[in-house]
Amino acid sequence: MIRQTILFFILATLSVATTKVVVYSDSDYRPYSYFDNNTAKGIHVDIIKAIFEKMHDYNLELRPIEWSEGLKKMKNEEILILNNTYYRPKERPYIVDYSQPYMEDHPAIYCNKSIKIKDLNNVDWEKEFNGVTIAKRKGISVSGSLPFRKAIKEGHIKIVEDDHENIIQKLLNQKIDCYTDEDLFIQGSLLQKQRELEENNQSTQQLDRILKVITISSEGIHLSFSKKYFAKRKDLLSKVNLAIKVMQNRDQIEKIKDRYLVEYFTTNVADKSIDASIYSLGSFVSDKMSSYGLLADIVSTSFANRNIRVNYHYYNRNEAYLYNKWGKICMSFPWIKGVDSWLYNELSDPIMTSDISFFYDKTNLPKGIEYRNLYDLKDYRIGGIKGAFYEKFFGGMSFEYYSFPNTKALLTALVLKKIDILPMNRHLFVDAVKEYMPHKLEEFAHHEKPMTKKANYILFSKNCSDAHFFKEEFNKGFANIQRNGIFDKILAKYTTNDQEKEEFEKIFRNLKEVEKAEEKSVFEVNATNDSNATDHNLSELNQTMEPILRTKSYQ
Amino acid sequence: MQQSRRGFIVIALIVIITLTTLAFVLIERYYYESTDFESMQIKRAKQLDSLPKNAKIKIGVTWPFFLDKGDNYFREGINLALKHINQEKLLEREIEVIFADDKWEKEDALSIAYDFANDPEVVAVIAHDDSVLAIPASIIYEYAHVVMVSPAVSDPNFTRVNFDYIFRNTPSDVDIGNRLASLSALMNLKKVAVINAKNSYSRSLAKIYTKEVLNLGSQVIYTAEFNEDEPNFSRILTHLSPQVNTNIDYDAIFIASYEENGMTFIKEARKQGIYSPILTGDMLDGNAILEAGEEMNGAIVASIYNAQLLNDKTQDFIDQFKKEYKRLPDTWAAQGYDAMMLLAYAIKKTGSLNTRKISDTLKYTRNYESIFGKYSLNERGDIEGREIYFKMVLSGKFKYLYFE
Repeated sequence: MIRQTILFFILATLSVATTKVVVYSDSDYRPYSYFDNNTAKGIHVDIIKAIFEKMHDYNLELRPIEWSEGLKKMKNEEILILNNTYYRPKERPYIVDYSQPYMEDHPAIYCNKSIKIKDLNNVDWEKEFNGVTIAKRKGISVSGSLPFRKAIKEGHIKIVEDDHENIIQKLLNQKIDCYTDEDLFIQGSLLQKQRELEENNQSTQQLDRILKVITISSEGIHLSFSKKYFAKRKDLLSKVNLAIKVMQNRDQIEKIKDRYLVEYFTTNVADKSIDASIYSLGSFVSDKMSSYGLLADIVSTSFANRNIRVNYHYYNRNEAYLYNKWGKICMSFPWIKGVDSWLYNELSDPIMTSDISFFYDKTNLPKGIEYRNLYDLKDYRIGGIKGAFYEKFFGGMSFEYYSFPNTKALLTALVLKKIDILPMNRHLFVDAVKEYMPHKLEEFAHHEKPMTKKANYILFSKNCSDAHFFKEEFNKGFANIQRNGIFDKILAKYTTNDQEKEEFEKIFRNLKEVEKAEEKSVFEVNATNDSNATDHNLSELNQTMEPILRTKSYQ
Repeated sequence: MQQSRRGFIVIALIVIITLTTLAFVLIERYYYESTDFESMQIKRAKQLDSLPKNAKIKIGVTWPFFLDKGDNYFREGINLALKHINQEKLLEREIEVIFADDKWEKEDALSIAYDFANDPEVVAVIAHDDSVLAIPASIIYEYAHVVMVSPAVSDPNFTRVNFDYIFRNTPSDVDIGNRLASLSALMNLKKVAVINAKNSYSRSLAKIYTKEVLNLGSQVIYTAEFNEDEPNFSRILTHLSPQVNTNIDYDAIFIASYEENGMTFIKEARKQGIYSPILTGDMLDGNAILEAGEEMNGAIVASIYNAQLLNDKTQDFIDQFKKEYKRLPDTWAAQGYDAMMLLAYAIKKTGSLNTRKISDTLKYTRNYESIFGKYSLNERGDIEGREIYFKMVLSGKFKYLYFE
């Protein structure tokens, strides 16, 4: 399970940076620096980000580059700052400044055959490595002690150059003996290879033969600055160095490294999970079903398509909303778009649609209601939830509109004939009646023509650091299950008759069209303030309702 | 009959309390009035003017030292500054510090103030963390011409009288409350609940915050006070709990209180399912909140010290403190260190131990390079230009929040 560090709000949004600084970092140097869908990841990346987080007058942009290419561009002064450089003032005079080393590299030798070394502190390179072929990446200089380099120079050890991928393949096929590079880089590459082989159901036996033989040196890693670097260099450099000092003083660099290694080397993709806060919505979301209902099943399956597990937490509607908003639970559904949802959340692609219909009490209006357009409703007393999206419309026109603090009070007003009609999502209405006045269920009806149709979404709280990632993963998974037919199978599983099938078609198809049509809608939508009360005492409610009824919201 | 007896007892109690309070006020006033401050001033001026060459500069430091169990960061901050000043001979004379425990009692604070005031060799004091002690004591220091720097008193009333000898190196609650309101706006906290303890500090901070947060366009959806001595949070938390009040909607809670009640409130709130961000002043800026458990996650405290400030002076101070005491300094260590260094700077710049001249130097101190970055002091004795930071508690650690 991945760590879901709740940040409560994204710190980056609070940073106001003034100067952009572009740092080029290795495009494929796992686990230190690599780019996944253009997102920089890795130990170096996390450390550099942490350094710049402390310098809020600079704004960091990390760009990928193949390292040897980066060095060439530094020489040509095409780029200004390169990550992951050793201190080599003589070899690379075009680098005019280095930051303090922020961590150490440990170049090592990994071999696919047994090499006996008597004393690791005093290796006899000429004898013990005699005739061994060691590969290194193109453009990378070999680190190590003088005797090691002497043994190479005198031909006791043969050095060959190649691309990283080829070297790993040759190492597996025993076409070369050893590979020298940074220790964790080789470990990460071997792990990557192992995952690839496992995914393709291939044997990983060859990998077991490849073992670390020796760590040959340790060198500091710096950010390097090219000659052309601009006038602000000194200020930037001194701040970078101070930030490194701050981090080293607090062991923050070691902690980043350790945390990353735990995640990188032990996390299996299938272990990822996300918590979701949900509330009752008819058969779409229900704690009475092991799948938590049709909609929850769709959501779980979409995430499962991306190897992510969903842990459901069932709450009252307001709790579900607030826990998501506060970042306690990173995901919640289903919600329609509202002012708050943009402020606090990232929204998924639409997952379903819902109708808002007009409900009435048949004992009050036995002939039903006359309704072709909204202006036909002027003759009725309309009730609504305080703050709901339709309040501006009904309150602003010459409607007789009454505002209520919650669903329970609103339903009670309908029963007591203080209002004639109320707009509500059909499923929410049925759920609420079942909860507060189940014996009245048969007495209510709704007009066939819905007031409006709304797209519903999953909210991913911006207060959770992985909100964007999970949103993207869900959208991909949701698209996948719609393409591969699994989505239809889920619908079929919950369909018991043709009427239901027809209803599901309306609810789950053409979601994007509904979303587009909604954008043109005259209403602004508010997803909140429609919570359910828990008190079942109607007479008590009746008393509390009176003063509310007297305050007509349009007056 | 019984009712009238009860009424009599209540009236008698009210009379007794009023008379006792009046007696204290009169005694205090008598002390102030009967003290010959004028001769104190003359003695001090003469004594300091003719101090023998080998005599040290006396500075009093008074603080609730009794509160600390084990390490005392504030004292260590003072001692580190002292070592720095004396060993590196920053001044022509060495500084001698006289420590005194104010025990968080007004009587002790006044008694210490008289002791320092009566010693004509005392040039300055670094004094108190609470305005209830600092404000009455400041009258004595002012009249006795002893320079007073408070490292912790943020009450706007502390400098309201416009005294000549009274300063602080900490921002006032107006700065802190306003900045907390700005943070709320930046965090899009549109609906906030404001809670405060029934004491002057908490009421003042809550009032300043509320005024500014409303100015910035947010709504205050609920306000409540709790008794400081016997806090009962259940009424407040019942109202704010989404488990109980299914119609409640807010983005954050602001609480103004002292440390212990603030932490208890947060703990109780979490038990009631209130996981919203909780903002508070700098009273909770200490290690206690980090050690109080996971419930503190999401609490945001204002802080006047940023250990991660990319400033050579800040980092050198941290290095030195770490070398000396084998741990990182906290806010109060930094405040103590800075107060002492500020006094040393003023003494050096004045080139004299005349307290009138030193206080004049302090009043016109501009862009002083401190361990907190540059700041200035004004004629009222307030600090200008000191940054206020915000830290969020996350898994037993503070995470700094940056914004402009």
